[in-house]
Amino acid sequence: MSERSAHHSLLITHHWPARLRAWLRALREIAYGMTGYEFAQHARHLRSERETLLLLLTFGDMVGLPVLPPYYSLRLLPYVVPEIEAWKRRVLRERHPLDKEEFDLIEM
Amino acid sequence: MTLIAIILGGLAIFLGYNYYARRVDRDVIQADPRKATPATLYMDGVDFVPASRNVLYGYHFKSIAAAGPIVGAITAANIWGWLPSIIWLFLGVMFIGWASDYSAIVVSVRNEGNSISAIAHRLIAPRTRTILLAFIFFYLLLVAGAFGNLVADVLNRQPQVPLAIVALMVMGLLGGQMLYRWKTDLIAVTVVTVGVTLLVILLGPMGMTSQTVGQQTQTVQGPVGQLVQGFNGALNAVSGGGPLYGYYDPTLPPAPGQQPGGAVLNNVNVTPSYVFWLLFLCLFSYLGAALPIWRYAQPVNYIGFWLTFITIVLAFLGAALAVVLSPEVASFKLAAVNPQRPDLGFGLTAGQAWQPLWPMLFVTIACGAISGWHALIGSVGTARQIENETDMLPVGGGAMFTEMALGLLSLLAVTVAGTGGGAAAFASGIGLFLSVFGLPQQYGTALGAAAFVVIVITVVQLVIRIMRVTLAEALAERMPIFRNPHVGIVVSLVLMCLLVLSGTWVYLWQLFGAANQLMASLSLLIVTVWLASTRRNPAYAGLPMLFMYVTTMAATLVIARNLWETVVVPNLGRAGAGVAVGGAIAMVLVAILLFVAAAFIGWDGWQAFQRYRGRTAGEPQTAPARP
Repeated sequence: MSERSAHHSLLITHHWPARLRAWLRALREIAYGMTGYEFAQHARHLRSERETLLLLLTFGDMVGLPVLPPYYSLRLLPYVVPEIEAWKRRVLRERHPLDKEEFDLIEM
Repeated sequence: MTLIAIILGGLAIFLGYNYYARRVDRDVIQADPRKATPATLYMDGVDFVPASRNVLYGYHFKSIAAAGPIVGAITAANIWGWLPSIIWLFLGVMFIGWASDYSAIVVSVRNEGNSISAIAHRLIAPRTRTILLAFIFFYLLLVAGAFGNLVADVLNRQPQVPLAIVALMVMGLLGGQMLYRWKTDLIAVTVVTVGVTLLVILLGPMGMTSQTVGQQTQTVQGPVGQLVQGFNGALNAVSGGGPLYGYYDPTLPPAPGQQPGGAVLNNVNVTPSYVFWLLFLCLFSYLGAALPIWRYAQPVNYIGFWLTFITIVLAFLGAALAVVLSPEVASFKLAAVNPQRPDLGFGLTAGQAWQPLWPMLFVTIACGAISGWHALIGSVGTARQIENETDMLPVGGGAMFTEMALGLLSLLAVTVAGTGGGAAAFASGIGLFLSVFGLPQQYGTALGAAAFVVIVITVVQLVIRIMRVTLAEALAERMPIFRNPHVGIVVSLVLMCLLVLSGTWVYLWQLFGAANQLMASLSLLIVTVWLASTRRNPAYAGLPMLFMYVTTMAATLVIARNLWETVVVPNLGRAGAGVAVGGAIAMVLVAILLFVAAAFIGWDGWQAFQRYRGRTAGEPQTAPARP
């Protein structure tokens, strides 16, 4: 049984202590979603901006940019191979004009 | 009465979610837990990050719940009474609101996490995305104007509030520094920043007393309030105690001394202190738009969320328990139907403002029942974090149902407070609910007023930020000066100030509501076309879309007519009223622009719908290329 279906089972089980724990866990997650989650998300975005910049400087030829001498690219290559696919998709994806702005903060 | 309203609200949520929304999710969308979502497919650790449904529900609810359901409910209750307002809140969210939010997320999840506007570009017409961008800009301008007016007015009239906003600014800067630079634990940051801001809020009314002089009750401010009052007085001495200019606003009570049939007297007077607090708002917004978001806007928003959350939760409890602990608080003092509009506004009189229940109620209460902005947020942010397709309904639909509760609380607050200005009535109602727990009413009212200003001001600063980005996106190629962010910010602030200083507030709010609801109907249109393209029954989105589209188009025309007949015509030629006339004409032009833009999108959407309905088999056709 996956963790998800186990979690859902707990919410509808008649075993009250387990059910209570499941509900408290759900409330904790909702509270986290309302409070700390946006900071974790923003930290991820900040980190990705720096990673994107580094990858553009060293492997920009993969997306059509002129690059530094290939010596540095080759030295860094083993470390960035896991990130290349996601990075290319991130940089080349069609962007919404307001993507960069945290306009999920603009509650209406 | 408040408890009955809360129980009925809970019932509306229960029935709407379990017997309608779930059925659509199961039978029409056929959410499949085995299907990979963009978050699990791409998982880039940045935008596409699968999150649990509970975390995402909290995040999405916080993203959509703010000043919209509060201000709309208050305004509608004052115009038509609480009964039509509460009916629209319940029915709107049960049949339309949840469908809009949920469907925007569904369409994005099923289209690789693309935004609504990118999907519109592909499914409907390339120009749809351009028109939507223009729509967003004017929509944001209207929000800035409506909310800016509210904030400047409250800061000017409630001298116990401004210090709290200054504290919010300082704590926001400190919070960003503590969290991102000093790597302080979030709980410690929360305790310090929220705690200090809360203390300063409660300092405001300290020492306030009420004195009865003859028949009237006068409020005597405490030390903080007196300091701000003295400051306002010094500012107003610049114009000799009189206004800088004035004009006649038909949506406000007539000026004292106004004789029936006599010469029209100004009932809006713009004073130097009002202009000062407007400029203060501009400073607040400038910081939010210019500084990196982690430095100021995000922590300010975070502190504002906590202040509002504490106030709303306590007020909700007070509203529910009032029937037992303090029955006189729980009774409704506002009429169910406004006695000045027993015909619900359908009796249209030439030369007077038209406020018929249809279509105007449906654009006055926007976010508590349905909102286009939510569709945008859902399709760009939330949809890229959905872990499992079965999470789409509890996150998108569930958050919207919960937001209705916020609108309901605002409605109850103004209903128990009785008639009066929007923000003041809301704050007074919150004060009454909090008094159920023994908190002196002046402190509860101060908390309500501060929470209201905080929730609105945090929206304004971020709106100015997005306006700057939208201006740069649209104009930077032709006018490189807009690449400079400060130019974009200043232009946006100037436009906001022009609207604030010249706009008739109720019409400004309704025009914002019309733009918001038009965006919602356009997002439902995109959903309807997508449903047709994937050979699904489009009725659950198509019928609400038709209703909202026709209603908001009609409302846009009514607002334009009201502006012309009741602001431009009576103020033409009157000394000092040029600003009001200019502002009204500008709003009429914006209304016409929104109408035309929506007509284009509606036409393109209809053609796209016909295209997909006529298709016999094979892949969905993409939109034909247009210049």
